Amino acid sequence: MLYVGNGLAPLKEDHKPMKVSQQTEEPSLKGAFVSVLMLGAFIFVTWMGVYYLFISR
Amino acid sequence: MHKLEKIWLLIGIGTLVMFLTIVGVGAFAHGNQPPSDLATLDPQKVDQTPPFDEPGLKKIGENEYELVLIAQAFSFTPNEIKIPKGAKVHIKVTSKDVVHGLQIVGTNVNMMVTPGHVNSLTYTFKETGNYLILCNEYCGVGHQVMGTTIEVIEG
Repeated sequence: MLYVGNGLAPLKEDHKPMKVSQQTEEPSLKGAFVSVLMLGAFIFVTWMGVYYLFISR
Repeated sequence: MHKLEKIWLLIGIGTLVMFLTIVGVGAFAHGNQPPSDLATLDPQKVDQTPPFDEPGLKKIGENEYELVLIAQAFSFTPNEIKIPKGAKVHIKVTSKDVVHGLQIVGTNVNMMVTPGHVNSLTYTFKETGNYLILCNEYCGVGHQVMGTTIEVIEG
């Protein structure tokens, strides 16, 4: 199942007290990357398909 | 910037550059350009303006022809065209009344036919058979029956 997230960290039940050293959580872009790769592949394949049709005629 | 963002940008821009190069080289080095429709004439004097004063197929070289077509509501003149296989055909077309389209189904020949302009395209018919010419630009009540056929014969 494709999970399209917005990259936000999950809401934690317990509210953590203010930390002295802030650790910024990097949003995971892996899902977005895979999605755009799939889209890019689709664009690439269909473009080549139509171009081949044009050249062959 | 995130590492994956950099990778994706590279792939995206690279693909775009590749597409533009292929189309660009095709256009400027191989002449794959859309029909320009730049030549003009008086639409009311089509029948007196050469080459449209003599529509039809004209041989201009070894298996090279000029096909002069007139589009009007709702027919193409001439409506019987026979071409030998392998012939290189320079198609020239104009309209006497409204905007029409000229498409040879299954080929790359697809262009607008506007009154006052001469549109042209060169095509080589490599296979024998019957090719349908259709008007693909709405031109009135008879638009759906506007068409004719090209017969490519063994020659």
